[in-house]
Order: sequence, then structure tokens, then C-alpha cells
Amino acid sequence: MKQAKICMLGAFCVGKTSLVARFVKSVFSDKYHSTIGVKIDKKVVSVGDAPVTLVLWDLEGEDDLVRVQMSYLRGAAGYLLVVDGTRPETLETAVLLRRRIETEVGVLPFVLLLNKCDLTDLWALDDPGLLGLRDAAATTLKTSAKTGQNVEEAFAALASAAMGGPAPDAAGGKP
Amino acid sequence: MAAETPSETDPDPETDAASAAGGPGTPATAAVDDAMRQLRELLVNPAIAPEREAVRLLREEVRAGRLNARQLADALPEAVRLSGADGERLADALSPTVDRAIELSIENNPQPMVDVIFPIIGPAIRKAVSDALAKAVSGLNETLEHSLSPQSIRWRLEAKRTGKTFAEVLMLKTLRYRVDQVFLVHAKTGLLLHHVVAPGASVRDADLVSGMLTAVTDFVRDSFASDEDTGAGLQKLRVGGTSVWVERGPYAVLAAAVRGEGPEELRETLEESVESIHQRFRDELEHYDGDSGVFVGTAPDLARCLVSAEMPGRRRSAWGRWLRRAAALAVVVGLVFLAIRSNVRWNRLVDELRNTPGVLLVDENQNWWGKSQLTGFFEVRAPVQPYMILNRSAIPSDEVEQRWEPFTGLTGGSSGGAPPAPYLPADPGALLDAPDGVSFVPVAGEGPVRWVSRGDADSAWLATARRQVSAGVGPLAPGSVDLSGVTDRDASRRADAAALRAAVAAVAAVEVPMPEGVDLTGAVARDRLAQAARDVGEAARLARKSGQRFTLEVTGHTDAVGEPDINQALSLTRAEAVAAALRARRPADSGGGWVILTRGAGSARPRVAETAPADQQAANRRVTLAVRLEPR
Repeated sequence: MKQAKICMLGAFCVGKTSLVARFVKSVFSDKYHSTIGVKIDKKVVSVGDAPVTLVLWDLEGEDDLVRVQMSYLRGAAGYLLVVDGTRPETLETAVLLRRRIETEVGVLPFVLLLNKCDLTDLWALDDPGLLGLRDAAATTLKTSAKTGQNVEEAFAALASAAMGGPAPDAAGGKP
Repeated sequence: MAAETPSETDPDPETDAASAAGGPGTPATAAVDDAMRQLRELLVNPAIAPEREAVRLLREEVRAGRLNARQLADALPEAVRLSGADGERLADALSPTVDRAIELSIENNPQPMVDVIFPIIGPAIRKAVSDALAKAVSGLNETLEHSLSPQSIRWRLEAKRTGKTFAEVLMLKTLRYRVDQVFLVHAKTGLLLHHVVAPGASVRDADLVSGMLTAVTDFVRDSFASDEDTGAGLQKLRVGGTSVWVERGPYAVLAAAVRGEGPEELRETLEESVESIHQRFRDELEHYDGDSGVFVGTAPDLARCLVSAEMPGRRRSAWGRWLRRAAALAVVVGLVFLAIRSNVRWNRLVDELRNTPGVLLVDENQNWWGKSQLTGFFEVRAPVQPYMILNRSAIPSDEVEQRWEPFTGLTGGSSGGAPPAPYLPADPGALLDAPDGVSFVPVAGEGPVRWVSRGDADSAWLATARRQVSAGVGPLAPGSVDLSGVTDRDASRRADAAALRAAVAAVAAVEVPMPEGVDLTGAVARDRLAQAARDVGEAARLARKSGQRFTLEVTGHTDAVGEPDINQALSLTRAEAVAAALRARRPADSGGGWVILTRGAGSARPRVAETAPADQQAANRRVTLAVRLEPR
């Protein structure tokens, strides 16, 4: 069975963890976020006929006080970039994050997730291009932790983007 | 182009050929001519001759160089081989160059060099270290040679048996640990390549654990390590009794979860495994694309790390341990106490036996299992018998096998070294004042001494003795003397006397009738004779027994008819006939001959009066007997 390391990042409190909670196998509790800044879960998806194990590194949210540790992205095959649809500033954070990744780690395929889409009257994203992220992403999806909408699709999309892309080892970057 | 005037004597076949080929002066040809002229100038110009020459030479060189390189490439391997066979010259010559080349390579990018050397360097270092350690261990061994606890002796035997050094066994035994599981993790991505578990160990999701381990390593390094440590990784994590030992290679990391205190050899095992894996799976590690299936082949290398040292047993609570020790101690103490007490008692008994007058202890043997033994002699007249001493002691009698032989001591002394002690003899003869005809014999047994008596004594003494015996006298216990063997002389005498009287009376009562003359053939006569013989025999015997002289008087009688002289002679004849008949019938056991006196009484003593009718007077014709006894 093939395995791939993928990461999930976003601004603080965009709902990354609750988004995937029902879909992944968790062994470690959320406290690892605040201690070492990452919690690791597992998800099995199918790419074509073959099953693929995605080892998901759920990184802590970035805000003014806390910066995501780029070293955690080393060797990743791709990542999920999560944005809170009700808070436009999280989109800017996402842009910055992507830039840091590309600088410090390398170009990696990612899927852009616009979370909390169930809160339709609070939706605040009006830029269709999403500050350029929409083009850069392999796929962009509207998701909801409450309904579980598009979560499986997000994983599947990222898996196929990662598998179809270069091997995780050749992501390069500093050892 | 400032040129000198070309020399006319410089023939140039090319210009001649060109001018020779020239045609009539058309415009095209004019241009050509013009060009030709320029060309001629250039060519002929001596200033560019050096350039020309140079170009020519260059061309030559290039052509030659290319040729040379090709030739060289073909020839070089052979040349090197030949040179190498010849000696060290090529190596010598190349050596500085090669050194320099390596230096440059490492300076530019050390990683490939490190990757290549990595599997080799480990063993080299280890060899050096183990040599040093072996020396240290042998020193340790020497020290240990001198320790001789039973535990260490057992371990020594094991060392000999398994071929390890004693120091190794010692370390193995005193350390308790177990490697529960081993992870092989891809260094960069943290993905799990392979995983082995010891039997019985519990496992969390191995993929997630390996990822987390990588994350933690990154975290620690990023947070705490200084710049020199870049590239370094976690080596050991420890929480309570569990530790995770991490050994890094260039591409993969080995992590072993150890329960207990792992020995340093474990680090070596991990290093060897990592190196072996990198050697065997180099390609797969370098080009890892997420498919871990190929790494199943690392299982032997990983399994090699699942070492453990025997746990001597689960740790019990301190209380339980102390309780057990106390119980064991109590048992031991109890046994020791019993042993000592038993010993003391026995010794006390033996001492008492030795110090008792009249007891001669020959052998004593104390047995823990089975019966103890006492053998010896005892003076029959001693007041204190061995059985008494044993009863007084606290040792139960059925635990002791005794053999006591009686003896009669000539002196009243004890068998020990003590001075003779006076004592009362327990002599039934003296105590009962027995007459000479009575003797007493002791009978030894388990209990008090018994005496058996023999002989005869008069009734008076016997009656008294019987009374005394039943009541006990002096040291003689009641009933300890058996008097049944003593015959009552008086009684027998009386009995004999009575029997003698009866026999005498019986004889006196015998009458042998003699109706006619001296005829003893009648049935009645014969009967009477037989009876008389028996009676006389009895009387004679009894008389002799009682020590009296026995005389038998046989008297013949007639009736009153006839001459008194004839009657007298007849009666005497009758008496003699009966005497002869009796002598003939004398029983064999009458002991000697009889003294028989015969007498004729005539008719002097008739039975029936003379005045009676004649047929009744026939009864007078008889012989009577009488026994006379006289003291000897």
C-alpha cells in the first residue's frame, strides 16, 4: 500500500481539525497542537484502483503569535490549505503561508478549502480569484465541518494531485 | 593593414591557378578579380604568414589531439594495467592527484561521500571500541573472578555453558529490559517503512506513531538544538520505565521502544541494523515514492533488535516480599530451635544415664529420622533402672529403641568415672528371707525387672512370701516376683503321707481268699493278687519317697478245722505262696525289691467266728497283707 505525507495548514481557528475529525483515524489528542504544534492522523483514500494511505500532519493554526513550523512540511507530497469563509483575513494568511512554503520548502501541490460554507449569511469571501490562490491550487472546494461537505473529495483530490505529481522525496529543500 | 611589400619571388600556386583560371574582364569577373586580388594580398602578405602558419599548426594540433585522445582512451586501461603490474609507480604518481580530487569532491559536496562511507565507518569504529572495551572487560572479569556468591557461581556455570564471558552474563542477568517494537521510518517524510513487534507487546497505530516521532524530533531540534546540531536527531527519549532509542541513517531512522533499562550493546545492535538496511536497500531508500511494500525485507534486521533480558519475575509488593521473608525465616528458626532442643534433651538423657550408678551405657545413637538407640547394661539390683530415666526425660519412649542387658555387679559402682555409690541390693532372696532351696532369676524386659523363682520351700514361708510379693517389699515392685515355680514342701509331704496311708490301708484291706489248700488259680484270687500288687507297689513307692523303711507282712490263715499244727503249716505255706505271687507281680517302677515277711497265723485270727456255720468259716481261709513302716 502506498503512503504519502500530507499536511493541513491554515490560520488560527479556521476549523481545520474539526473539519476532518470524522473522516480520519485519530490516535493522538488535540493537545499535541499546543505542545509540539502538530497532530498526526491517518486517512485511506483510493487513487484509481489503488488504496493510498495519507498520513495527515495537522499543523497548528498560524496567527500573530504563532508561526507554523516549516520543517514539518519536509517530505510532504502536498497540503490542504484551509480558509475560514467568514473571515477574509484568513485568506491573506493562507497566501502568506503558501509563499513561505514555496520559499522554504518548495513548490507542492495543494488543495484550497473554503470552510464553514454552511454559515451562508456570514460568508465574507467575495474575491473570485481568491487572491490568486484559486489558480495555484490543484482544486478549490467549499467545505463544512458541520455537514462534512466535500471533505472526502478534498482528500481524494489532494491524493491524486500528490500521486500524479513528483515523488515526495524529490520535494527537495533543506535536509 | 600595414603590410610590407610582398616578395615577388614567393610563388603561390593558388594565385597562379586563380589567375590562370581567370576569364575576360566582365563585371562579374571583375568583382571576382577584385576579391581574388584582396585574397591574394591577404594570402601573400608576409605579415599574415605567421597567422597562417599558426592556423595551420592549430589545425594540425586539433586533428592530432583528437586522434591522440581517441588512441589514448583505447590504450589507457591497458597501459594502467601494465603499469600496475610493474610496481607502484603509477599509484605513486597518481596518488597526489587522487587525493586532491577527493578533497575537492568533499569540499564541494560531502554528502555523496558520506553516504557511501556510512555503511563502512560504523564497523570500523566499533572494532576499535570493542577492542578497547574487551580490555576493560577482561579487567572486570579478573575482579569478578574473586567473587564467590552462590548466585555468581550459577552464573559462571551458565557462562561456561553458553560460551559467553562471565562479565557478559553478569550484565545480562542484572539488567532487565525488553525491546517491545522497532520502527523503520523514512527520515524525510516520517512515513513508516516497516515495523516489527515483540510478542505480547501492545501497539498503537504504527503509521501515526512514526509520524509523530518524526514531528517530535523536528520539534526538539528546531526548538533546542544549536546550529552545530543541524542534521543531528533525537537519540533517546525516556519516560519512566520506557525509553525510545533512535538511530539515524542518511535516509531512514530506526526507533526501538525499550521497556526497562537497556544495555549499551543495544545501541550497537541498532547501529548495525541501520547500516545493514542502508546497504541492502540503498536504492529503494534513495528513490522512495511512498510504496513501503519493498521494505518488508528489512524484517530480519529489525527483528534482530527485539532483544530482551529475562525478567526475573514481576516485582511484588514490598509487603508481600517482607512477609515471605519473615515466614521463611520463621520456618528456618523453628527448625533450628527444634533441632537444638532435641539435641539438648538427648544429651541430658545420655548424661543422666552415664551418671546413674548401676547403669552402664555402651552406645548411644541419636537419629533425626527414625528411632534413636540406646544400648547398655544395667545392674539388676540398681534402684534406678534405665527405663525410669527415659520416662523422666522429655523424650517419648517410642522414639527410642533400647537394649539393656542385665548384669550383676560385684561392686556397687556406677559405670561412669564417679566414685562407687552405696545402694540397697534389690535381692528377692534376701528380701523375702528365702530358704536355701529357693532361687531367683531376673528376667530383663522393657519395664521393671521381674524375677522368676524355682525350688521348694515349706508352706509357712511360701505363704509369707506370697503376701510380701503381692504387696511389694523394699525396692521390689509389687508383683515383680513370680513364685509359681516354688513347690510347697509341706503340702506335698502331707499329700504323700495321705497317699501312703491310703495305700497302706488299701493293702491292709486286701484279702486273698484260698478256699482249698494253696490254690491261687481262681479268678477272684488272681484279681486280688493283681490289686494287691498295685497297692503294695504304691505304698512301697510312697514309703521310699517319704524316707521310710517298707516291710510287707504276708500272713496266711486257716479255718479252725483240723490239727492246729497242720493248720499252722498250711497257713505259712499259703503266706509264702502269696508272697511269691506278689514278688512275681511286682511293678517295675516300685524301685527295688520288697522286703516281705511271711507268717502263718493258723486259725488264730479268724475273720468269721468259729461258732459260725461251717460254710461261712470258709472265709477264714485267706491270706492278709499288712505294711509296716519304719523310719530309716
